Amino acid sequence: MKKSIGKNALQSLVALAVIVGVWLIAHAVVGNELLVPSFSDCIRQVGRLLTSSTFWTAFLRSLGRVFLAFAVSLVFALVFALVAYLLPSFGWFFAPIVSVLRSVPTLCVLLIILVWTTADVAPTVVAFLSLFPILYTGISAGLRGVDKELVEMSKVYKVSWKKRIFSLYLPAALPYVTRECVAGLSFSLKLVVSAEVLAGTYGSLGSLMQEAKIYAEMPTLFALVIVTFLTGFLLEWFGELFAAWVERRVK
Amino acid sequence: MRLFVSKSYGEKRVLHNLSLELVEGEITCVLGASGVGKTTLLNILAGLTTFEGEAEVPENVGYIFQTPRLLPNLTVAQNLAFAGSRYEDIACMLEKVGLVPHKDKRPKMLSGGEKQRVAIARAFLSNAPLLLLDEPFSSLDTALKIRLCELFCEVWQERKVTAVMVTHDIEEALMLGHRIVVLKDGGVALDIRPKRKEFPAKYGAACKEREELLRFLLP
Repeated sequence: MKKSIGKNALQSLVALAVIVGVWLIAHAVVGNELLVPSFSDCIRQVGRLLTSSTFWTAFLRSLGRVFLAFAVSLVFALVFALVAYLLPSFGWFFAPIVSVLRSVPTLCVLLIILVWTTADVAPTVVAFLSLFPILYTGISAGLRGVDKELVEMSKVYKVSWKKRIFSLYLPAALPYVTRECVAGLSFSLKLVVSAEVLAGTYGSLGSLMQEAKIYAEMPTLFALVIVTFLTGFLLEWFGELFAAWVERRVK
Repeated sequence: MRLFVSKSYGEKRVLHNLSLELVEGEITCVLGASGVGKTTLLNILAGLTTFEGEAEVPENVGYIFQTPRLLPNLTVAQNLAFAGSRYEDIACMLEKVGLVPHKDKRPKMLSGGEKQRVAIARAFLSNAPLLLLDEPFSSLDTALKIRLCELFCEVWQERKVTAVMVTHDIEEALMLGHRIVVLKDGGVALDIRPKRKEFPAKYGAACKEREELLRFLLP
């Protein structure tokens, strides 16, 4: 496990080096600070952002939306997937709804949600609508993978539903759930920031990006993108560690 | 406890008007070729499958499956508690089956024989009036099989609970069974009570019923 984490980190570093290399070449070739700002300017801007209270307020608000959308999606997905597993007729009824949610273009839905709610709430709702079907599908797959022989044994011994859910179904589905969560968290960040940009949510990472774009502050815009990217990367990395720990615990 | 049952899987009729009365406090061993319906019979007794006919069986049963069926995320003691046992009873049973040093281990840390001992403990801890055993020792080597058969008898003799054991091994049936039933063509083809001096009998001990059983079991 440690080896694979080390290998993944090395691969990520190589990918990062390639991106920076392409950036440096593009900057040299284009030669226009408005189109491709210099790498060093952007890094300096990242440093300035990290000491700015405005940035931290926006960052924490956005991160709060990310976790809120993720937590609500996870709870709903867990409950609905469990109900669908235990009552197959509900699963069949719910399957088309999940398919619709999966195929609806997220940012188009944002426009409708903006009519019904405010720019503060809309990014969270949009992230929930996108995350929920993904987590629901992953958890359902995990539950379907529960060992049928263990289910049969629990029926023979007339084990209570509470015990079955907490000791059999959830631990069996947990490795799938954590894997889905790892991908879901960084996806949630991407969705929330995109929705904030479009909704113009005040005091958010998205609105800072929008402002930087309007005032043509390209190093600031790129710095915000770098910070968002690094946050997503860290969320995924911690998530991977957590998922590996969970797998060790339940297997 | 009696049953008169038929069971089909689609077009295939597995059990046909099978009539069997279980005597309380006895171990009944069920022999028969593969696919003759031995496990189906156990599943009917356990209430795990539908059937035609009547079955007068208790609501609670203890079941020792072919594989131990332990939850990988729980320790030995937690696995026993999962099936509804109290921790005081678990401690006592673990001592009987020699698993006290393993009570906090997870199944992956146990050998095949130790896992099956947990399954035996779980079945006895259920305090059910009927025990079902589906070839529980078939995957173990002969020495371990004999040791676990003896262990099963030790624990069984405390309560002498009615038991039905499906097996492919004639010697196992002759060792443990007060009564041996051979299934063939969906019904009971042979129903005998081996005569022996001790219980459990020695594995492979001389027994005149062996010939008769072989005659019914060999094609």
